[in-house]
Amino acid sequence: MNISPELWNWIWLLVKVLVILIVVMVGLVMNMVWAERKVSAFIQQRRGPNRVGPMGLIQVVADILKMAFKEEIIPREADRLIHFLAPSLIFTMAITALAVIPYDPWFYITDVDFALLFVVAAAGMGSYAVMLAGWGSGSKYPLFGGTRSAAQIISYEIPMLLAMMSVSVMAGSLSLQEIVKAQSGLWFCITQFPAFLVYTIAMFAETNRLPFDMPEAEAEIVAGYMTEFSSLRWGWFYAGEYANMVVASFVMTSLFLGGWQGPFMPGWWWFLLKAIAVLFLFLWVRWTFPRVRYDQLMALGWKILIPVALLNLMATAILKVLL
Amino acid sequence: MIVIPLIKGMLHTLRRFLFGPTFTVQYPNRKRWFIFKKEERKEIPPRARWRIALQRHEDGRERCVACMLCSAACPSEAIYIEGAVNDLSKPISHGERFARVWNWDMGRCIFCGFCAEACPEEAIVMTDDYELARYTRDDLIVYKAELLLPHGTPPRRVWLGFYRELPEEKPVTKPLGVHVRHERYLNRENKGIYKPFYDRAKRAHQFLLEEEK
Repeated sequence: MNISPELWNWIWLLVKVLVILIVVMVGLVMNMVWAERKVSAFIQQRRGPNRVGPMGLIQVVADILKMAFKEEIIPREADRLIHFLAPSLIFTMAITALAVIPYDPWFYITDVDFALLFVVAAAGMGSYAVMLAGWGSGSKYPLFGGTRSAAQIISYEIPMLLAMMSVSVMAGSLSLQEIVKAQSGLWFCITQFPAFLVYTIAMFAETNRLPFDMPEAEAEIVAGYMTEFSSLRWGWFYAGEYANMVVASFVMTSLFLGGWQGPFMPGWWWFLLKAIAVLFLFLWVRWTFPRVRYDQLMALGWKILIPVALLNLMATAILKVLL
Repeated sequence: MIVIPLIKGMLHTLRRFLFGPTFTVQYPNRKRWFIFKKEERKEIPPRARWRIALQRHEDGRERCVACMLCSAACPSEAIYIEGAVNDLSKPISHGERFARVWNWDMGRCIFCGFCAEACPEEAIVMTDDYELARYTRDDLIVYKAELLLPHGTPPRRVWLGFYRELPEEKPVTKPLGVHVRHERYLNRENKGIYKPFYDRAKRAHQFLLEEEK
């Protein structure tokens, strides 16, 4: 067999994509659903799912099967194309960002020099899915959820971007691999502590997680943008939410927690370990804090996070020039 | 600072996550009563009023004589009885009559225990069998064959609608007159919180006996 090096490259790329998809989908997204129920149960001193499989691990498979056999209901007023598009968009955009994440010094799909922008762009497209779902359902609660999501994502993308910018100023690059390499000494969560805090808070808002889950606030607007979805399409939203969390934790790991940097273990072990710690933070915060009010959400975003992130960016830039 | 209470809350939930006890009882695998009491009770309380049962004598005859008092006492009309006259050569119950049909409608029953209290023959007792779910409504009607305790079950006493295990040295073997039963109640060893009532009743009983003499 005579295989050209170019073909080998393609095969190697395909293998990497498959490995990442399987690890992220099966290893993280599915187990996150399980972990969320288990963590919430332990925090509330319950037991959580424990009937299907060991410690209820196969519960997710049972849930997916149940969802697949459910009736699919599309509202009469719905815009069918958008209603169809939204669930697929949210998940595809979430896993698109996986292409530029540095998992290991040698294991990544691509390393472009605008990787950070690519991640933000993918996340921005993902928020379209929420808005489209709200618009396309032809129903009022999803519309509320969609508009809330739009306002929230606009107000929280700014501090998130500012925090990312100060990190890239520190590293002198927008490439995630370069940013991770720049953290060989001190991680950016120490040297860029204000940016770290701002990013952490904005991350919860970006992924619609609980202290800021206004778009799907079930006590106020039923289920927000997911109200009119049923069966597997609702399942895609559910999976998309967890995929978004996984991506956000990956970005957080590579921006602030030193990515694959770490002693003794192979790099991707460290990467996964840190990502899982961040994912646990997601669950931990969700089951600790109540939902904030909408005006509190906006006030926090515009009056605190953006000034803090701006000042931090200015200070970083000045120090970078001076030192 | 707003941050300190936030961190406090996070630590609180973390402590629960790591070290918190689990309060859930895995019901079908483990049955536990009153888990919130300090002393963990492993058994059902002795006066629990759940599924009713029909007692037998030691020789296997039924105690029920189809007097219909239980069905009259029943506030929700859950008991249906059809009596028949005993064949004296092979009697089913100790009395003149026996219950040909004895149906208990669990769907109607409110588990008040009046039937057990009303029964003059101590035929009805309330048991601790609390797993009463059935798949159909028809299954909720329980027939006599299912209600009868198997031959050889230790007899139980009824008092104020509750059942009690009898002390072993005093098995109920023959039908008892009202006086005898009263005396047996009044001479109980363990009177518990009802002791003043017992004492008063005993004095009244003795007074009546002396009057009769």
